Amino acid sequence: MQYYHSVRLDVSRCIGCTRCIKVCPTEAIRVTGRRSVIMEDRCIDCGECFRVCHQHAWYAMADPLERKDDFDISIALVPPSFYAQFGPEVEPEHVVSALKSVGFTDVFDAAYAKEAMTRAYRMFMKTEKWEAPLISPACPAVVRLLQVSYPDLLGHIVPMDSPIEIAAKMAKQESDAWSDCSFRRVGCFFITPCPARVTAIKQPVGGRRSYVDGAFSMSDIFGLVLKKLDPRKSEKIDKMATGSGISWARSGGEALSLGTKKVLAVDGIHAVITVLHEIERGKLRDIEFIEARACTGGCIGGPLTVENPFIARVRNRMLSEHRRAKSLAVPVEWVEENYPKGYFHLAGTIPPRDVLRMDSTIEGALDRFERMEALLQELPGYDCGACGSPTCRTYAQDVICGQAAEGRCAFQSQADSSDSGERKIRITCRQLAERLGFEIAVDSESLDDEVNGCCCSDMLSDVMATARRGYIWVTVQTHPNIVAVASVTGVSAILITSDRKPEDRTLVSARTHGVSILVTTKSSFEVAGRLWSILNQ
Amino acid sequence: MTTLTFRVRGMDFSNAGEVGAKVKRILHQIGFEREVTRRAAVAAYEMELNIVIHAYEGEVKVRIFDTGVEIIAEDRGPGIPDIELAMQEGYSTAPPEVWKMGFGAGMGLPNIRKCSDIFEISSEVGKGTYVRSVVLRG
Ligand SMILES: Nc1ncnc2c1ncn2[C@@H]1O[C@H](COP(=O)(O)OP(=O)(O)O)[C@@H](O)[C@H]1O
Ligand SMILES: [Mg+2]
Repeated sequence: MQYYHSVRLDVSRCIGCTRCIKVCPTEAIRVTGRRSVIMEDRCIDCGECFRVCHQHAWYAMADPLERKDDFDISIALVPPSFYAQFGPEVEPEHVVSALKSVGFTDVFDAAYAKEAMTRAYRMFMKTEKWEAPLISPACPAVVRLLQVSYPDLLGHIVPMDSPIEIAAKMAKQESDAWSDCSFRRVGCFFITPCPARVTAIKQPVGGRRSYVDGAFSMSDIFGLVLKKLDPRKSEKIDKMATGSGISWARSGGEALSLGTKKVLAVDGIHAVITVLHEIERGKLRDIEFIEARACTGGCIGGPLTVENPFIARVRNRMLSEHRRAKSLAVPVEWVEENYPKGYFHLAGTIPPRDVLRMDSTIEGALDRFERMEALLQELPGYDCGACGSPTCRTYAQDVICGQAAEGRCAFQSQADSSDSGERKIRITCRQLAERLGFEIAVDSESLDDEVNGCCCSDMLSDVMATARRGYIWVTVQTHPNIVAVASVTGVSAILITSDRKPEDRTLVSARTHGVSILVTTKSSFEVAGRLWSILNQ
Repeated sequence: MTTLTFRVRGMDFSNAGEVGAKVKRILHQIGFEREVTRRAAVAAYEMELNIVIHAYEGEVKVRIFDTGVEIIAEDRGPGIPDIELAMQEGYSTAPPEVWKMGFGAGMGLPNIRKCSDIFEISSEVGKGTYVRSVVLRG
């Protein structure tokens, strides 16, 4: 199945700087042809890439606000991190009122569902068998990190739905009970601080449909609410969390709510990885519960938040202290009644995403592994990222698995040239053109690049997959799109065969993009044969 | 066949467990069945820890075949005077500081044997210890 992602790249903004490839916790990004390319099946939507991107090329795909108008009743699910975006004079009740002015029929406090989760965790730990340490299911990026990189730890995740799913479930049932109009369509919309939640809603783990009907970016809703905020207008909701549920917005809140000392809270995806390592190494068996958050500071540090996370943290702490109460807002009887019915439990299990396997067969993988280790010996170990892969090891793996061209390492090729007596022939594109009588239609710098291969294909997607920097691309296509393909793949020249003439727009575009074009009367078949014999002399 | 060699230093608790985790990761990457991976990782982990806790320094060598994994630990250390005793569940000479860290339950060697299809151990007092485990697929 195609994996859905909310983290997207605007290629027109990307300059291929390699900042993002180094921060990606699952090594899901490569730079090829001066652009970042994301390996969809590895991405966990944590948003680290767009935090470091200076070009603002990465963005999160959330729903447009109009989506709520598809429903008769629209409920805004508000997480406590949202309250922390506003100044100290703004109370949650003001935000509720403003959200209604923005056009939501109703508002549900997600922190209330978090308190239900706290009670459900306690019941789980008391009544079921589990292996310490338990890992919270609340952060969708962390759950996906485990699926991709730590599949053996999936069994440590509390097998419950996320608090947001529980919130939507509660909100919908409430709504039916209140308005007695169950025939009308009720839509629940989460105001999300992170792209990972958008993904989790579109594609929940375990395959069941989400109770949430859409996700709006917190930064988008913030502006709308800010305009509607009015100090005289505030509205109470009866299912409002106490300080405990509110504190889940910052790191440590969830762990603290359990009321036991044997908890650990870790925030920031790279810090989370260090803790997962410890569990893998057989440690932390004395810890009962781990609250892990991909974002530094917790959800208030989400990539889609507006306020500085340190300021938001103070706001959240003040609000939760102010609303501290002896007992949680959610009645214990309610949880005791619903917990045994499976209200909180995940429908299925969380499957691993086996994306790290090197080959479909053991024999193939072993062979590749050996060749990768051998190649790794030749690489400098600087992990500079200039080749487009985040580390020397990933580069070696990419080369061996056919996902990157050889010879991209600046340091390795130096070593090669110094000791190569019997390497393949060295010839530039221009020399080749002269030797084989190709006509130069567009002359740009790349003609003086050394040719290191050839791609002979008229299918653009095939060229995208196989052509590399330094290649000659042999084709009969003449339309302007070939220039885009050439510049993305970084080929040295396009060679148009069989006496076809490139369109004028193609020539213009090639000149502006610095792409070289050669033409010949010979067929692709003949040209390919000649190129083959020269390049493999 | 691939050989991986890990150097292990005695009392180096900051890195203890690294070998087990790496072996697990690599076998997973190669695509070994979960159960085979688990058994090999446990064996590698326990051998590594025995060097950390009981020896001065040593090496864990992992050889990966398409049919299974062979793990050999060789160390320079005090050796084991009574192997039969050491193989008993719960027998441990680990010092109390090490228990406090959660190690030294005396289950390591018996665990390695349980996980292995072939298991060998030999030791010379005052010189060192040799442990070999083979975990086979299917
Ligand atoms: N590499 C080794 N060098 C010296 N002694 C060892 C070594 N491995 C095991 N032993 C001895 O065998 C005992 C049992 O080992 P093991 O079953 O792994 O339990 P533990 O390591 O928890 O003590 C150890 O306490 C120690 O006395
Ligand atoms: Mg031991």
